[in-house]
Amino acid sequence: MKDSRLMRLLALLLALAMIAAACGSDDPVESATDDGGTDTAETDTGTDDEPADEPDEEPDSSEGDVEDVGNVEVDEEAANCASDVELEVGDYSPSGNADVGMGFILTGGFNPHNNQAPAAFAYYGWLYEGLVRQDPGTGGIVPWLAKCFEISDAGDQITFFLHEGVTFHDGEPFNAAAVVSNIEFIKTAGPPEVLPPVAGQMAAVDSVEAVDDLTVQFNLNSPAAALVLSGLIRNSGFMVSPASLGNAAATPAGTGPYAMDSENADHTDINLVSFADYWQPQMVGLETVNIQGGLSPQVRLDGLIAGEYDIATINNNEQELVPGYSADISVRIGFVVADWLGEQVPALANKDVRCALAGTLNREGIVGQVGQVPESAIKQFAVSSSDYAYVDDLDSPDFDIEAAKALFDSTGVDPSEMVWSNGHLPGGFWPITASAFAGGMAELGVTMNNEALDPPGAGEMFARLARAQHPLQIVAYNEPNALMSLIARTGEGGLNPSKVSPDGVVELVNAAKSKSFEDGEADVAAAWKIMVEECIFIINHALFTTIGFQDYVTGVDHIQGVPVSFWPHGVRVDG
Amino acid sequence: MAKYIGFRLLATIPLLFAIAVVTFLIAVAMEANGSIAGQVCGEGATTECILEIEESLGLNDPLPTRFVSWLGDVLSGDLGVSLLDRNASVNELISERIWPSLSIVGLSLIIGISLGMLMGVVAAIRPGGLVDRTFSVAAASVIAAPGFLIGMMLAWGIGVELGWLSPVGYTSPSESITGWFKSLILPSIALGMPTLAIVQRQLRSSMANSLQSRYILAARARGVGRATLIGRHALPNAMVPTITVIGFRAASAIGLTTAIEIVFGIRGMGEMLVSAILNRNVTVLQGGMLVVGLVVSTVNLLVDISYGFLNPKVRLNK
Repeated sequence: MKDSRLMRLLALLLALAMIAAACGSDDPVESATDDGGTDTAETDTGTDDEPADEPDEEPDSSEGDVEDVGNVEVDEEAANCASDVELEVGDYSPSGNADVGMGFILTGGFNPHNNQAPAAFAYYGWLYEGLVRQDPGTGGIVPWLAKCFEISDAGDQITFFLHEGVTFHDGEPFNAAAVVSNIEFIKTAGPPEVLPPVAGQMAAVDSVEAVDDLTVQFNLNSPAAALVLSGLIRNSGFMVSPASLGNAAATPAGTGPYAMDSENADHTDINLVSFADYWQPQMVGLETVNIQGGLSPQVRLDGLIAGEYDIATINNNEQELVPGYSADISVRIGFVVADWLGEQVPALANKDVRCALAGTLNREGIVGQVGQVPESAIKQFAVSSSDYAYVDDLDSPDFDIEAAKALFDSTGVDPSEMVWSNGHLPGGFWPITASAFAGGMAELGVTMNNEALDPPGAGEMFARLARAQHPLQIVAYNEPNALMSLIARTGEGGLNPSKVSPDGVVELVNAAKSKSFEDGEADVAAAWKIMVEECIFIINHALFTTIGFQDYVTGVDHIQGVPVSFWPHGVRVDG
Repeated sequence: MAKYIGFRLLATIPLLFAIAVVTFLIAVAMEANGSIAGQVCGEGATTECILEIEESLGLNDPLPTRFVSWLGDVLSGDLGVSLLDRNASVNELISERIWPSLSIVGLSLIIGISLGMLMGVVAAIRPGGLVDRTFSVAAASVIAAPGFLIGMMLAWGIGVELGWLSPVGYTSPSESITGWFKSLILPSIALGMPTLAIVQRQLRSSMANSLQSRYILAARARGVGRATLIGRHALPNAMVPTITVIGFRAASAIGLTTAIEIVFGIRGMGEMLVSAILNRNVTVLQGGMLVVGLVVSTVNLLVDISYGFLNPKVRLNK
C-alpha cells in the first residue's frame, strides 16, 4: 500500500516536472540564437590557456545610436555613410622588432577559415582584417575595410562601401569581387577548407553581389542583418586574397598591417614582417614581429623580466605569478622595451646607476645637488615629492653624483662618449623633471641631445601607476620609459588618431604652463591620462589590430599598477 | 668485437618492435577514449567530416591491418601528419624538435659525467675526508631535489635576478653558435646536476674499492706513480659499474628533459610529446615516442658496446 502511494506521488512529481520543462523551453532568445547559426560560444580546441569565450553582458535595451546585434552592437554613427570621414593616410615608417611571448599555440594553423579557436584571434589580428570590426573602446561594430555600410529598412540587405587602395599581401586588390569570392567560398567550400561553425556565421546570407568595384551587397534570407554583422566580426569576416582560397593548410594572404615571413611547422615560432602597401601605412609601427607561442606562464614572465620578450600576455588565471596583480583583471600585457628605440645603453643597465639618476627627480635633490632647475620649472607642476614613489622605493632618496660616476666607471663606459639621443616627444612636457634629468646626465658627462620627456615623464607615469592613481591594464617591466618608447616607435602621428603625441601633448603642456601653481597637478594628471590612453590605443593596434580579440578581452583600460619595487631594472642584452 | 656489436644490434630490433607495438596500442587506447575524428573536425563537426577523417586515418580498418599499414609507413620513413594541422608532417615536427632536446641532453651528460667523475675520483682518494663528506652531502641534496626545481632556481637566480644568461628560449646553432651554447647552459646544468651527483657517488664508491684492491697495492709496491695508479689501473675498473649508471642516466635524461624544456621554454621533443598528449594528437605522439625509443635504444647500445671496450670479459662471453 505504501509502495503504491509512493509510486503515485512520484508519477505526480514527474508530470509536474514535464509540464514545467515544456513551458520553460519556449525561450525566444534561445531559439533566435540557435536558428541564427552564429556560434558565439566558440570552443578553444588547442592548448590555449586563454579564458574561454564568455557571453557578454545583457545588451542595453534602450533605443539610441547603438543597435543590438546578437551579443554585440552596431555603432550606427560610425557605420553611417552620410557621416563618412575621408581616410587620412600617413607615412609608412616602421622601426624595430617586437618579441612577443604567448601562452597559446595556433595549433590548427594560420587559416581563419579552418581554425576557429578564439585564442587564435590574437594571431589573426596581425594579418587579417574584415569589412567590419569590433571597436576596442566601445565594443560596438564599426566599419573597417568598409568605409561604411547601410542596412535596408527590412533588415534583409546590407550594402558595404569599401575603402579604395586596399591590397592583399600577395598584391591582389581588395574589392567587391574579392568580398564576393570570400563569402561564397565560406558558404560552399565545406570542411576541411571551412569549418561548419565558420560557414554557419554566414548561414543567413543568401547571396552576395558586387554592385560596383567598391560596393558589395549582402542579400539575406531573413531580416538577419544583425546576425550577419555579428558573424562578420568573427572568422568568416576575415578577408583573404581570392588567390589564397582553397588551401586550408596554407597561410592565406590577408590585408593586415603585417604579413607572414616565416614560421615553424607547429606555429610556435612565427615571424611577421610589416606590410609596406598597407592601406593605413602610418599604423604599421614595428618592422618585424616574432611571436613565440605555447610558453608556460612562468617562462613568459621570466622572459619578460629578462628582456627576452618585449611583450608577453599574462592571463587572468596566471596573475598569482606576478606581485601586485589583482583578481578582477581579464588580460594583462606587459612590456619590456629596451632603451629608447631598442638600443642598448650599457652603463645604464646597472640598477644602481638608474637609482642614482632617478634621484634627480626628487625636487629637493634637484635643487640641493644639481641646482640647475629654474624656479619657474619647479613651480610648473606642483607634484608632491612623495609622488615620486620610486625614489624612495629604490632606496635612493638622494642623488649621489659621485656614486653614479663610480658606477659608470665600473661599467667601463666613458660617460663623455655617451650620447643620449632623444627625439620622441619634442617640447618640455614636464620641464622640471626633464631638466633635472638632463642636469643629472650633464653632471655625469653624458651628452643629452635634447631635453625631452621620456625618462622623467615615464618615471612619473610609473610612479603613479605604482600608486594605482590611474588604473591601467598595462604592466611595464625593466624600462621606466617603456611606454614612451613604444609611442616613439610608432613614429610621429603613427598609431595616433587623436594626434595627442606629439602635437596634442605640446598643446596640453602649453595650456598647463599658462595655469597657476595650484592647477599644475591636475594638469599633469590629465596629460598623463591622455598619454596612457594613447599607449593603450597603440597597444591595441600593434598587438591585435583587428576584429575579435575583444571577444575574450574586456579591454585594456582598467588595470592597477605594479609595485615599483618589482621593477628589475635590467636591460635586454640583444637590444 | 665486431661480433659483439653485431649481436647487440640484432638485440635492438625486437626492442624497437616492442616500442612500435606499445606506441600503436597507446594510440588505439586514446582513440577508444574519445573520437579522434571529432577532434580533427573540430567544434560543430559534421557526420560527413567525421566519416571522411575516419576513412582517411583508416580508423575503420581491423587493428592488425592498421598496425601493418602504420608500420609500413614508419619503415618507409613516413610518420604521418599532425592531426591538428594536416599541413605539418610529423617528420618535420620531430626534425625541428629533436635537436634542442639532444643538445640539452648531450651537454648535460658532458657536464654531469665529467664533473661527476672528477669529483668522484677526488673524493675516493681520501674516503671520509672533508672533501669526500662535502661532496657526499652536496650529492645527496642534488639527488633529493627534482630537476625542474633546480631548473626554476637557475632560471630565477641566474637568468632573472642576475641576468647573466637568458632564462628562457633556445637559439639554433645556425643563428649563432655562441647564442646556442649560452641558451643550453642553464637547462643543461639543471638536467646534468642529478647525473653529476649520481656519477660522483657511484665512482667514488667503486674507485675507493679499487684503490684498496691488492693489484693496486702491488702496483704501488712496484713504484707506479700516483697519477698512473689512479688513471690507468684503478679508474678503468671503477668505470664499469659507473658506465651502467651513466647508461641509465642518459636514458632517463631524455625523459627528464621534458620538465626542463617546459621550465626554460624550449621547444624540444619532451614539450612536443606533452602537447601531443594534451591535444590527443595521436600521430605526433606515436612518431615522437618511436623516435625517443630509438634514441634510448641507441644509447643503451652504445653503453653495451662501451662495456665491451672496458671489460674484455664481456665481449668474450658473447
